[in-house]
Amino acid sequence: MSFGHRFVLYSLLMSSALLVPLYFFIGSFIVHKTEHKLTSIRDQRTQQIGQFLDKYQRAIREVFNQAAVLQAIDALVEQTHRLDSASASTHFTQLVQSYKHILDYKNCVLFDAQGTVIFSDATQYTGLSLQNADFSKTELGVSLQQVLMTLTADIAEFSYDPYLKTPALFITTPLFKNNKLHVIVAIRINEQNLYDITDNYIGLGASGDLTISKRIPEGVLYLNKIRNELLTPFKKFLPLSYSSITKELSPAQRATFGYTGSGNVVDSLNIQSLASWSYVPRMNIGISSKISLQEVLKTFSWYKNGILLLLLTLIIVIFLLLIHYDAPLKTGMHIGFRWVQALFSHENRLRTLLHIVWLISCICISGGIYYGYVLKKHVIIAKKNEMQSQAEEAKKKIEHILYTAELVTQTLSYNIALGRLDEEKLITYIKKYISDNKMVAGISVAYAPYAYKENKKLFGRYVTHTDKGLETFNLDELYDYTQSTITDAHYKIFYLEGLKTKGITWLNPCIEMLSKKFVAACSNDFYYKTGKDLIGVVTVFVDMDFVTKRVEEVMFNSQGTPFLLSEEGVFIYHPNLNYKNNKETIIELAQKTASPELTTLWKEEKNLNGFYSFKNVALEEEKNAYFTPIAQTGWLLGMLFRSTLLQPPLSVMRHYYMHVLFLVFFFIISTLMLWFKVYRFQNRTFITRCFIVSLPLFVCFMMLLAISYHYQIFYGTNKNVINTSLEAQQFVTEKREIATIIKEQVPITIMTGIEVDSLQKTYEKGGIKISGLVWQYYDEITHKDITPGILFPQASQQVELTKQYETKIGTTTIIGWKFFLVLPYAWNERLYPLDINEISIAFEHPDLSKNIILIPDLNAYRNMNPVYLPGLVKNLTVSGFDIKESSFSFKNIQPKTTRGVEDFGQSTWYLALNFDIVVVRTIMNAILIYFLPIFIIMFAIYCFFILNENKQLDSKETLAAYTGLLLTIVFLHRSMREQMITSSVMYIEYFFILTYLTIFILSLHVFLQEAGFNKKKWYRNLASGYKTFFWDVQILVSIIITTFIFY
Amino acid sequence: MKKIFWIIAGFFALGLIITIIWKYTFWFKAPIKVGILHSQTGPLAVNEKRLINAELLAIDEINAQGGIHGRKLQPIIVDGASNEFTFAKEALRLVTKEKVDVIIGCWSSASRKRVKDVVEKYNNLLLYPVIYEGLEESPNIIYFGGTPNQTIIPAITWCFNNIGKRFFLIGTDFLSSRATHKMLELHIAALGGEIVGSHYIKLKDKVLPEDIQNIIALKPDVIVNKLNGDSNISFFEELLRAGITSEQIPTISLRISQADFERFPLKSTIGTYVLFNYAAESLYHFNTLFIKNYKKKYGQQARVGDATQSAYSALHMWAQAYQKSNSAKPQDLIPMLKTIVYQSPSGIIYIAENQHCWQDVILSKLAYNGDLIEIWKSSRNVYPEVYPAYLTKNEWNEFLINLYESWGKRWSAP
Repeated sequence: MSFGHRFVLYSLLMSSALLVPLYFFIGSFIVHKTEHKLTSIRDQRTQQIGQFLDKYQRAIREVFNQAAVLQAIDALVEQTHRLDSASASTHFTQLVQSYKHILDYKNCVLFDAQGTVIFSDATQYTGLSLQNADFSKTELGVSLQQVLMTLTADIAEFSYDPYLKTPALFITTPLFKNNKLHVIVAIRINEQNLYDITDNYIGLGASGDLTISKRIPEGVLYLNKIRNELLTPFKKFLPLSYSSITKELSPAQRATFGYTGSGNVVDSLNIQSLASWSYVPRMNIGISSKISLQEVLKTFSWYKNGILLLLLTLIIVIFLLLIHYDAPLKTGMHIGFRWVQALFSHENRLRTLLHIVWLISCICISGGIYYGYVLKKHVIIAKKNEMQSQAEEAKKKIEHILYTAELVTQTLSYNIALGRLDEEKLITYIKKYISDNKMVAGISVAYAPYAYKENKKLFGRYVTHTDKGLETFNLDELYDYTQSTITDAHYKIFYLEGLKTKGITWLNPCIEMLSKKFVAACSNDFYYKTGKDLIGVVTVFVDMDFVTKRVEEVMFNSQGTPFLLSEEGVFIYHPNLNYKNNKETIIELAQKTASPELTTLWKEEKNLNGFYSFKNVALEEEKNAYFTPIAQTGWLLGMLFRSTLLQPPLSVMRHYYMHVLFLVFFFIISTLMLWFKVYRFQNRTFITRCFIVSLPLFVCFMMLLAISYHYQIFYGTNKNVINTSLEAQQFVTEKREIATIIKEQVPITIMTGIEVDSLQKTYEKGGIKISGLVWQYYDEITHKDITPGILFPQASQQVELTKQYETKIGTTTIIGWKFFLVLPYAWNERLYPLDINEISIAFEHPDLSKNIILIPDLNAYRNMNPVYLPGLVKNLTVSGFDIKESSFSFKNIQPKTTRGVEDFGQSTWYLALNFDIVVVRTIMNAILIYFLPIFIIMFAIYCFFILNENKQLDSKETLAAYTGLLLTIVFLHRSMREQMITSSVMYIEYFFILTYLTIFILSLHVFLQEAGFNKKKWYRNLASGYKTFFWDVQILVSIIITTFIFY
Repeated sequence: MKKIFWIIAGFFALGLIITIIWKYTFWFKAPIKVGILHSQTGPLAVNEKRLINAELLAIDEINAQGGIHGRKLQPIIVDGASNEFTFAKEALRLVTKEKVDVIIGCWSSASRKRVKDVVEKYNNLLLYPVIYEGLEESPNIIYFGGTPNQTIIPAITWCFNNIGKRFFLIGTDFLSSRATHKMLELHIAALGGEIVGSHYIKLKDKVLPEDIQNIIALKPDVIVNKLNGDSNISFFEELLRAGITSEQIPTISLRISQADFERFPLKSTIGTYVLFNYAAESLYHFNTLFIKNYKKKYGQQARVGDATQSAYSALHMWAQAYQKSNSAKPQDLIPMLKTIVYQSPSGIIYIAENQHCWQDVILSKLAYNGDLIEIWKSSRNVYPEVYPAYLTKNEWNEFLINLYESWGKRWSAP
């Protein structure tokens, strides 16, 4: 190899090496820059919020230090008992309003040192005080209590005010006079000033957003409007169990939980975004700014693709040059101790290098296959760990609640045993313990016969929360609690059950009749110092709401069903409340869900703890369960979930197989290189060479197509698939809870079913014709104000809806309509012929004034497993497609208008019920109609090329043949385009383009030959190389195209 | 060909060396010195040793994360010997001889007052992690402990609303107890309650049976305990001996750490109320992590308290501020510190303009087995009010000067 050759080769090598970091650097540079910008926006807004609060606090101090204002307050305080005297109030209002240029407020409320309203410019607050239980629970009430306790100004949580019926943010400030707390002033700030800071999207592009959110017991609530979802303030809510598709917390969650940072994340709509998040001190809210990653990278994607293309070209050129430049290497190796030296001697360097590369490729391919084996295992383990940690966390919290109850029981027992308490003191103690511990619903103390007083047989007191507040009951007057003949479980637990074992005894939860609460009882028998003489039994009743809230947290990716079982297998908690209310057992659940293996598991397995799998016979589906026992009570915290939840996602598997394929490709290339340079490839015949090189590449391409087909890219929408009535109920319950949280109308449900009998693609308009039957259930009581009807909001033409039948069963009327509609459907043909389409039929109820959720009538279908195609008539066909699955789902429609109804399109209002049909392209059609002709034309081109090279055809004849083939392929392409409506370039079109390009190159070659280029050595070499590697180039380009599109 | 090969190989080798130097650059950088100034001897040592442990744990964690700008933290531990003058002497040595970048330490207010003079004179920084009486603002101190409105004021208000109106005050004859008692006088009077009596003892002294008899005779509803160190043991023992349980006369202790209870006779302390800015039993993720790491380093029996976690959080927050400002000078570092929101074991905390910490207030009651049951908790972080509003800042300062003068220019009774 000459110096010039070496120089060219090494320059190319260096350039390609430089392109690799450049490719990654461009992306990271842009990402870093955007992150920095987002962080500065976030910090700037946080600072502005801080300044905004400072400004208000300064203004409050300034205004309420004015002598005139203080005098007016004095006047108000003096008239506390004469609130009807309006003059002082009017004067105060006018006075404070005159300072509005300093203090831009909406409402002003004054409280006295006991927490009673002495002035309010909002009539809703007049007459309220902290004695009012409802008011004391509001954010203003909570803030007021904090001020009274700490004598320090406080910023109440920005929240929905139940009295003003709007979001409100109060700043509460104590005012002192003569070394005493005089009054507390609460100023409701003008929240528009806050929104002016947060709803400013300058610098956030088209998709960017800035949100403020706060943590509430149920999850995270967004406090300002959501730009891209068109949601108004306090309408977007993420439940505590929410996690995105990547299992990561969304930026808003991170901010609200107190984290600070920035990075590449998935937002609450599962959109890959760049975001920056932090906590806003004093307001106790999170702030996050974000922008979609797609938007960030959009402008630079051309550069990235260009670099990648250049890199690939360079690699190919280097490969070709290597073959071209280097003469066959001398063989022979030195022996003995000079072996290593000989290995890397000038003569053998390339040979050794090629062997090393070949060995590496072997190692890589084995490693890749092994990685695939461990990948699945690893994903399953990681998912199991995640689930386990969620469950263990909840278990820890439940155990903490129960432990606290035990502490209360034992501490109270200890104190009673220590001193003989009179009745009044005992009740006071019990009440104190109840008010000190929120999770305690009630406490009972039952003395043993004659233990309280020698002349009094029984003495028992029970204090519990009832509708009237904390109420005391005399147990000894209610019944003889020492009698075992009493059958009612509620009474038994007080005394007799507590005595069964010495020390703490836990009893299964039940509805306690006096408080009407679902409680678990913790009983403790206590004795005189000797430990022999029984004094009595203390029972603490734990409000099970506190426990079940913890169970609800175990929602693996919102897809599992968490539950709590008693030792006997009776449901203490299940999202379907019927299970708990009817005291159903896990065996009954197993029977209902046709899971005999679950029954066997429960009956035969002792000490259930960990993961178990079983089969749902009805759905023919593998299911999993996780159990963990609660230490104190022996209850079982568990979760049921689908096995698919543990599998790696399709995209991961597709990427994995593609990686393996590239390793195979690497192996083939390295083998070929080794063969060319070391094992005298040149000695083979032309046909053998072509065949040997092309065959492995062709196999690679076929495998790539198979992977792309098997793990198809499916652009399905974000939805909640509903297969079981439990899932439907869980979904509706969640929405009802959210509606309560964000103060929307609580949704009403109407059961709806569908059977599609025809489905046809309309080519002329880009849509789909659908006909079938739809039916609904209307209850006389629940739906009495609702007019029956159904809307297909997406339908492009007038929907033909004909009532077919109306049947009444009990109080329920079932109405069935025959429908025919045309849906404007944009077929996603970009991936043709490896495309999948999801046809969604959305249903709505026409009464927009009510928050109605249509739920699927799942009982109407024999099998809800999507692969059994529920909701479709037998033998339904769609031309050119195979029907893969059908199912019901809920989608948030996020309309761009309110349609004139204020709350329409917010968090729960009008969630569209969808019937989704997934169809897959019949690939054989595409192969026969398009791929086969393209291949034949390409082969014909190749034949003419070879004939021309062998001088069997002259230039004119060759060009005429190329032109004829070009016309054929153009007609074929045109006919395909007429059938497809898509505006983007389809996958198959790249093969047409490749054919055009080949014809162009070969025509140019004929022209250059005529122009005399054939006499030049480099041109002859190039033409010879192209002839040899004709099919390899075609297949390689096809592999690159396929990888780019399907990776 | 050979030359080109060696040139390329040379480039690669050079790149590798530069990368290694860049990555492990802290090998060649001087460490950042952190002065740890606590009593390792004397009556307060028992409290302060736990703080040293927490501070060393924080330093280990910061170093494990790569230090600050690649520089490791080097702790320099000195003994304040429970004496305010020793604290001053050692602080001076740390600043002038050891050239530390920050001092974390002190327990009693007297020692803090002495160290304050040193750090202000030499423009250094003190991180003070203990609940205190307030009435102080220094540009060279960051106060991580609770101020009166985060501690005694809510505690007394709760007792007044829930237990009774007659209070007895007992405390060590320290600046902290005297100032606190002054605040309580004003606060209880404002609430409409009554202080039936008060009693002070020296730091090393014990509470005597007659002291308890005097308290019983005055029939208070609540005893407010502001005793420091080992005096608490005698106090609770004598109460028990006199047959007084917390159900008869409840005690609210303002200077006892959660970890201290293990040293007291359990029977005597059951039912005692304590007020902290931290709940050691909390299942908050960062608390369980802190306790797990603390126990891993110091053994399963090791217990943590309010000041322990404050000391731990203080160093972490300071390290984050140093990382951001890249300077140890108070004027550069403190503005950065004020922008940090830290997830401490007690919850989310941050620093206010007056260089004190916004934090939660938690009132708890001791259960029969030594665990604490939460009784009341503020609904969110409370602003640290340094000067209670009953008197003006000048009036409070005047009160302090008078105390200082009356003790012969000392911050504790002679």
